[in-house]
Amino acid sequence: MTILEIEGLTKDFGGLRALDKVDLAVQPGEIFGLIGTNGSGKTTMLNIVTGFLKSTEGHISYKGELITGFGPHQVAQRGVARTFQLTSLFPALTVEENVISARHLNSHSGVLRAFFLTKAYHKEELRSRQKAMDILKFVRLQEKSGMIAQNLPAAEQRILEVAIALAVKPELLLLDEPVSGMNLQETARVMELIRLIQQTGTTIVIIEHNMKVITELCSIIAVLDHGVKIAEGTPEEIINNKEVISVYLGKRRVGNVES
Amino acid sequence: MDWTVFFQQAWNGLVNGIGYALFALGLTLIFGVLKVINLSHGEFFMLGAMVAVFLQKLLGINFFVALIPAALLGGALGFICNRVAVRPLIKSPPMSTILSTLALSYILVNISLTLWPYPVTLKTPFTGVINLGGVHITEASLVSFALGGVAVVVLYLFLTKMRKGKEIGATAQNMVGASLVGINVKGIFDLTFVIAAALAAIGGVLVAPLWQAYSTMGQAILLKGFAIVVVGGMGNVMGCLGVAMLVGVGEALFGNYVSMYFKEAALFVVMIVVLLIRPQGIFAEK
Amino acid sequence: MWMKKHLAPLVILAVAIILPFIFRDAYSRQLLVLICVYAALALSLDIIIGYMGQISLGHIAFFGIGAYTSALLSLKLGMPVWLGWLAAIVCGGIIGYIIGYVSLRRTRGVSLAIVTFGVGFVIYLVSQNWYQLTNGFEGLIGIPSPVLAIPGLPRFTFESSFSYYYLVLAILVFTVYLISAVLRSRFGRAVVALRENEELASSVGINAFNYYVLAFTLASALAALVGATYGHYVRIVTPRLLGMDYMLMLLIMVVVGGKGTLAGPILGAAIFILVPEWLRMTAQLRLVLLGGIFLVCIIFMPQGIYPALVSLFKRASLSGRLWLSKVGGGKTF
Repeated sequence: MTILEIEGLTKDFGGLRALDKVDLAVQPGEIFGLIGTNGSGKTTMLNIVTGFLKSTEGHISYKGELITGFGPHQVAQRGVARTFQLTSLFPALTVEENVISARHLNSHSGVLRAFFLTKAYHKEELRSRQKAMDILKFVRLQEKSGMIAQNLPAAEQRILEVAIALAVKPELLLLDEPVSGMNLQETARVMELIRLIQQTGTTIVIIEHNMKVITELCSIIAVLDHGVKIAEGTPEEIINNKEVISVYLGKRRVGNVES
Repeated sequence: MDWTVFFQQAWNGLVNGIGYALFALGLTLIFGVLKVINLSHGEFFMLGAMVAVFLQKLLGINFFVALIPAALLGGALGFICNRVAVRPLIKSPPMSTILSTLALSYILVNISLTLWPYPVTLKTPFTGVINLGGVHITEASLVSFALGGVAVVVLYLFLTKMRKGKEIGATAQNMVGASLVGINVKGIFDLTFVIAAALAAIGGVLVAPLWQAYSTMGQAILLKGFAIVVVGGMGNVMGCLGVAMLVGVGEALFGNYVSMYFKEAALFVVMIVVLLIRPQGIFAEK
Repeated sequence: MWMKKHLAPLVILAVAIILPFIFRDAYSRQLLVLICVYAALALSLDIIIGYMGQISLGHIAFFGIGAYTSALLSLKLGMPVWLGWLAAIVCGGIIGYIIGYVSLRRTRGVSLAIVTFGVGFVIYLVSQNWYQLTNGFEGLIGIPSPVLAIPGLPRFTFESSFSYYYLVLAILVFTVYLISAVLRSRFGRAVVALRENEELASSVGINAFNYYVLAFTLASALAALVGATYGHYVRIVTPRLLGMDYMLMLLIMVVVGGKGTLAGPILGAAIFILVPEWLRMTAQLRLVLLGGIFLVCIIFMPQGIYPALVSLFKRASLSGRLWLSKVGGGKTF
């Protein structure tokens, strides 16, 4: 059974058609790549799937359930998490607090318990901190847990974003340009992280411009151009696809790391 | 239906409306161009009136002549307000300028209360009354209305035909774009504030003979001016003008036919409803 | 261990408790009561400003609603004052919920500020003009003082500033504790997350609208409680209580004191009640100076006085330690 199914997704912004009857199916456990030139509709599609935008036409099903029109928090409650194209954190909170806040759906510290400082509250707090540290250890940020988020170097901020998304305990993780602005070393670190996440059974969809990342990680890639899906297939098929090549020629060469 | 009463109230409303318009236009310009909510704008209005009365008592100048120093004072106050309370906080969140202009308003109101604790009247040379079929139109109100109308037309022509006016419009639409095409944005901010404040001061002088002038009149009109700007659309000049006249007339009619006590409340209820349903204002294009 | 961690607040509380013994005249004690009342009220507004990151310019209306509700119930229906206070909380909470529900759906930021202002102003006008209920301008007079009638103990009436001070101090302590408890809880974290980044918070499952409305309701209910306690202290409730000048003073207390902190609004309340008293000039010149201080604070200390003091203290102790280490021959502390 597909974990994410998108049917006939269309989105109009006034006179501009950002997405035109796009169909997509993501299988559980795979890493799915979504590429396309700037403005091709990738992030728009991500925003619609995660509830930040409403589609003009079309349906989205998650694990067989229709989630078209759901709000962002409802989508998250179902087990879908995402990162954002522009780094999005809780800037004034510490790294640890960022993850603890993101564990909202899995936290049980009610106000009454907090008020009376019951044993249950303390237990829950400890558990919360423990789980948050586990996530930070997983992404290898545990040493910076006390740092204020906005003071982290840029690449680690992106990694913190992933940690925040993981706090939702998602079965489906949507990453929007996770390695943008990173050097080779940082990119490799994130790629390793993505592989580890997949190994835990999470399905991942990656939007990226970095072709090396996409071709090395993804088993299936879909290509959007001006809102239309022009190709879908394995990395090999995509690299050799004539239409994909012609769309990309003049902007960047397919197969190279984006400069 | 007693049409005499209706038209009488309507005329009163129109005259009030012109006063509101001069005030609200400045407020909406400041918001449109600087994206700042100026809570001291009421004091520009009030001080225009108070200074006119003061100068009249001191130098015996008449109504028309008083308009000039009032406008100049208004302009100066606007300039000071911009430089002292707004410019230093241009990079801060919007809350800061709300508070700083509020602080300035506190300062101005209380200076005025110290100097002029009692209401005063501005005398005009027009004491006649025209009787149009039972409707009493005082010459003073006619003159104020006419002068106010002239001011509005002049403003309109300035904004649409003159170069600096068009630059103001451009800056309101897109600050960054405006600076990219060579518009001196900081200078435009100064100019906008000066014009807006001068307009408010002129408005104050024009309504002073009709309402009386007192140190807290700025606060009352600020509240109304706000509601007008919100309903007409922040930064929307024509919308603001239309709503101001509507409010003037509507308020008078409502007060007469429905309830004296709740006419202010009615305006605010309308404002709230507009904000909840169509936050960009009734006349906005979006 | 627990004592050490909470040493500062405990010391402050101890000082607060003995204050009426230091300041024995009625006038000073009255000021102490006012400070506690406005501190609690400022804290309730800070829920909206400091923790939600929004602005409500109508918050004072809930203060008035609480005052009027409790006053009316005890005057017209003879209800015991404590029940009146409970009713005030419920009333404030329900009205806060309705207003929050309707406004927070469509407006945030500046438009929310204007809507809340409009609502607050309309409520003010209603309190002025609905004289069948509120007695208009004259307000309600002869409001009873709270009476403590526990069987077996002597009957005690909270009439004097001295006794009332401990009552409002208890309410203030309760407010501080409640807010810190909320901040420790899932609810509080969600609200703070929303303030930091609403989009991100939604994406991790936080229902923005629900939590905003809840926080708003809490703030309103608290303000109503404080209003009720104030009403039974001054024993007169007039529409002036809901006026814009008090709203603005409240706003100043929160923002200049230091929003988003527990000490900031309390400090703000103390400063803006005490400073005008100390500046012995005519009422107007006093306000001019106050306005000037306010302006300076906003421009130079945008985070508020309390955070500015804290960072000043940190820098001072840091350079103090550096200096000491230099003097002590290179040993760092």
